[in-house]
Amino acid sequence: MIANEWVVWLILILPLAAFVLVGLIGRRLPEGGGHVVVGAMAGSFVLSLYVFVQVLLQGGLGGNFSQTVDGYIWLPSLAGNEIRISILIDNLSALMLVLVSFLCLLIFIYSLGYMHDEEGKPRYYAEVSLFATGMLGTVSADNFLQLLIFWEIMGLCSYLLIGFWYTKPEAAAAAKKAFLVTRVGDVLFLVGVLVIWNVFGTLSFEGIRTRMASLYPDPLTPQLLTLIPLLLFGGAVGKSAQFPLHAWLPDAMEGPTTVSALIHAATMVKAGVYITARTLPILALFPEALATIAVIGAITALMAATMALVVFDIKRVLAYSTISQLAYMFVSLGTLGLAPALFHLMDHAFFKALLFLGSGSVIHGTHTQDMRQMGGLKDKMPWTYRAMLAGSMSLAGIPGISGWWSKDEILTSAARYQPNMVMTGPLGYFSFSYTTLGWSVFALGLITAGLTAFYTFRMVYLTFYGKPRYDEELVHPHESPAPMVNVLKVLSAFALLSGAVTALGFMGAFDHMIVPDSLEHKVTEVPAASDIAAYIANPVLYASTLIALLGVYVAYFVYKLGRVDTERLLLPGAGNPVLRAIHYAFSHKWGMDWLFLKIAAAGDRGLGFFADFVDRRVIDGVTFAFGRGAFGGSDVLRRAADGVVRNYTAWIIGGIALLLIVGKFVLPSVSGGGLP
Amino acid sequence: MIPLEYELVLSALLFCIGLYGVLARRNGIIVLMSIEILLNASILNFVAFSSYSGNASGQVFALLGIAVAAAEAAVGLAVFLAIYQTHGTIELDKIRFLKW
Repeated sequence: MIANEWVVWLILILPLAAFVLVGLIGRRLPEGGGHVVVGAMAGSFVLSLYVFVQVLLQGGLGGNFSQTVDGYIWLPSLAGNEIRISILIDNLSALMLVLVSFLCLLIFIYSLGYMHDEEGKPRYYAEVSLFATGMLGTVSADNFLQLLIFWEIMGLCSYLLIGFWYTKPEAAAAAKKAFLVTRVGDVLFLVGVLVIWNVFGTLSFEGIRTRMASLYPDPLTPQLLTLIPLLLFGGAVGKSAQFPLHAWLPDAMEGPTTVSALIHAATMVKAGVYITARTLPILALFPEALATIAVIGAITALMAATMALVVFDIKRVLAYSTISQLAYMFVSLGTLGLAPALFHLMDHAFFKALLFLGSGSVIHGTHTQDMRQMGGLKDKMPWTYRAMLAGSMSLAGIPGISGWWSKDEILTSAARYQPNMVMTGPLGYFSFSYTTLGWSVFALGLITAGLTAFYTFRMVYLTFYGKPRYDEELVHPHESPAPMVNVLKVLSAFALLSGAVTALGFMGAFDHMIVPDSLEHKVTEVPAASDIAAYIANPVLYASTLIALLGVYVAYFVYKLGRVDTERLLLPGAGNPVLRAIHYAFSHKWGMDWLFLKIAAAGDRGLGFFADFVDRRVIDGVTFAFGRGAFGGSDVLRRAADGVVRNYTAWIIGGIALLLIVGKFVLPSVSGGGLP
Repeated sequence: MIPLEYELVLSALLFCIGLYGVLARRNGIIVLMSIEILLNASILNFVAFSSYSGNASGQVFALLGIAVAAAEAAVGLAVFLAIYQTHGTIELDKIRFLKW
C-alpha cells in the first residue's frame, strides 16, 4: 500500500493549479508565471519520485505492484459498473509519472531562458502546465473514460501550443492540422472505448482484465474482440503520429522549440505508446492485432527515416526521427517486446528532449532553422555542440550510448518473434505465416537503423562542422543563457548513461518491473545484458551496430569530408536521374501530403456539393414549399370571403349543422362517443 | 298543461322562420328582426324546459336572453343607421365591402 495516498492526487493537482493561477494572473507574475509553473512541476516530480520509490520498495522490483487510489464515483450505477475517478498506480504508471514529470520539469526550466523575450509568456506557461497535467493524468488514469478526458486535454493543448504564434499563417495551419489529424485517431479510440463498454460493461483496466480472463478463450465474438484492440490502436496511431496519420508531427514544428521538445520527448506522442503498452495484455491474445501494429510500425519507421534524409530544417529532421523511433516502439510492442519498447521510450525521451532543446539552443543562436545557413558552430556554441553530439550518438546507436541498448533489444525482439501460426485469408487465399512477419519487420527496422545513423550525423556535420554558411555580418552565434545550458548538461548525462545503467544495472529487474504477471510467459525473450554470454552471442547486436556505424561513416564521408557533391548529384541533366527520382519521392513525403490533400479535397468537394444540395433543395425547398402552400391555399380560401353577409351566415349555419350531424350520428358509430 | 312537444315544435317553427329571414331577405332591418325571432325561439325553449322540469333557472336565462336581445337590437340598429348614413342603403347585397 502506498503511504499518504493524497500525494498521488497532488501530482496532478499541482500543475493544474499552476495552470489556473498563471492563466488568471500570469501577467502580474514575474517571468509571466514561469517560476510558478516550474515550482509546481518540481513538486510534481518530487512526489512522483516518492511514489515510484514506494512502488519499487513494495514489490515493484522483480514483480508487480498495483494499487488503485480511489477517488469518487463519477457516474453511479445500480448494476455495480459505476465509473470512478481514481488513479492507478502500478509499475508502468509510476515509471511514466517520474519520466514525464522529470522531463517536463527540465523543459520548463529551459523555457525560462528560451522564452524570456516572448510576448505571450503567461499564455505559454499556462498551456504547458495544462499539457503536463494532461499527460500525467493520461498515464495514471484507472479507466478508459478518465484516460480519454486527459487524452483530449493534451489534444487541445497541442493545438494551442503549436499555434502559439497564431499570427503566423503556417503556425495556425499546423495547429489546425495537428488537431484534425489526431482527431481521426481520437474518434477511432472513442468508438473503441464505447465498444469496450458494450462488451465488458466496465471501463477500468482492472475490470476489463478480470472479465477478459473469465471470458477467454470463449470470447463473445472473436471479431469484436479483435476490433477493440485495433480501434484503440487507431487512437494510438493518431496521437503517436504513425502511418498513415503521421503528417501532423513535422508540421507541428511551427510551435516554439520547447513545445516540440515537450510533445516529442515526454508527452503527447508517448501517450499512444503508453496506451498500447497498457492494453498489451489484451492485445497479446490477438495475433492479428499484434501483426497490424508491428507492420504499421515497420512501415512508419522506414518511411519517416527516408523523409528525414532530405530535409534541411533542423527541427524537421528531429520530427521525422521521432516518428521513426516511435515506430520502433510499436514494432517492439507488436512483436510482444514490452520491456524493450518501454526501455526505448525512456531512452528516447531523454535523447530526444536533449536534441530538441539543443536544436532550440542552435536556433536561439543563429535565428534560423535551416541547416544550410548554419555550419561551423562547434566553437561558437561548445556546450550546445557537446549536448547535440551526445544526443545524436544516442539516437544513431553508437555502441554503449543509451539508444544502442534499447534499439538492439527492439530489433532482437522483432527477429525472435515467432508466434508460429498461419493466418488464412478469405477463401483460403493469401495465407500468411507469422514466422516471416518477425523477420520482415526486423529487416525494415535494420535498414531504418542505418538510415537513422546517417541522417543524425548529417545533421551534426551540417550544423556544427564546415565553414559558416550564415551571414557573418548579421548573425553572431553565441552560447545560450545558463538555464538552457545547464538543462542540456543534465540531459546529456541522462542521454549518454540511461541505457547502460538500465541495461547493466538492473535490466532483469526492469523487465520484471514492466512485464505484468499475465504476460510473463508470452513476451518475446530478449537476452539481458547482465547475462554477458547470451548477450554477446546475439547476432542482431552486431548487425545493428555495424549498420549504424556504416551510416555514421557515410554521413562522415559525404558531409564532413565533402567527397560527394550532393547538390551537383541532384542537378537536372548533370546528376544521376535515379537518385533524383528517389530524392524527389523522399522530399515530397512519398506523396502522402499530396494524397491526403487530394482525398481531403475530393471529400470536401463531395461533402460541399451534398451540403449545398441539402441546403438549397431540401431545407430551403421545404421552407419555400410551406410558403408557397400558404400563399396558394389562402388564395383559394379567400374567395370564400366575398363580402355577402348572407353567405357568411350560411357558412356559419352550415358549419354548425355539420358539426351537429357529425357529433350526433358519425362519431357514435365510429368510436362510441359523441353527443348525448 | 300544454305538452312539452307542442312548445318545442312551436320553437322549432319560429327558428326556421327566423333562419329563412336571415338567409333569404335583403333588407337589413328585416334580417335584424329575423335574428330576434331566432333568439326568441331559443328563449321559448328555455321557458318550456324550465316549466317541464320545474327548475326556475331556465326562466332566469330567459330573462337574461331578452335583455341581451334588446341590447343586440340596439347595437344592430345603430350599425345599420351608420351604414345608411355612409352608403345610402341598407340592402345587404349591396353592402359588400367586407371582403378580400
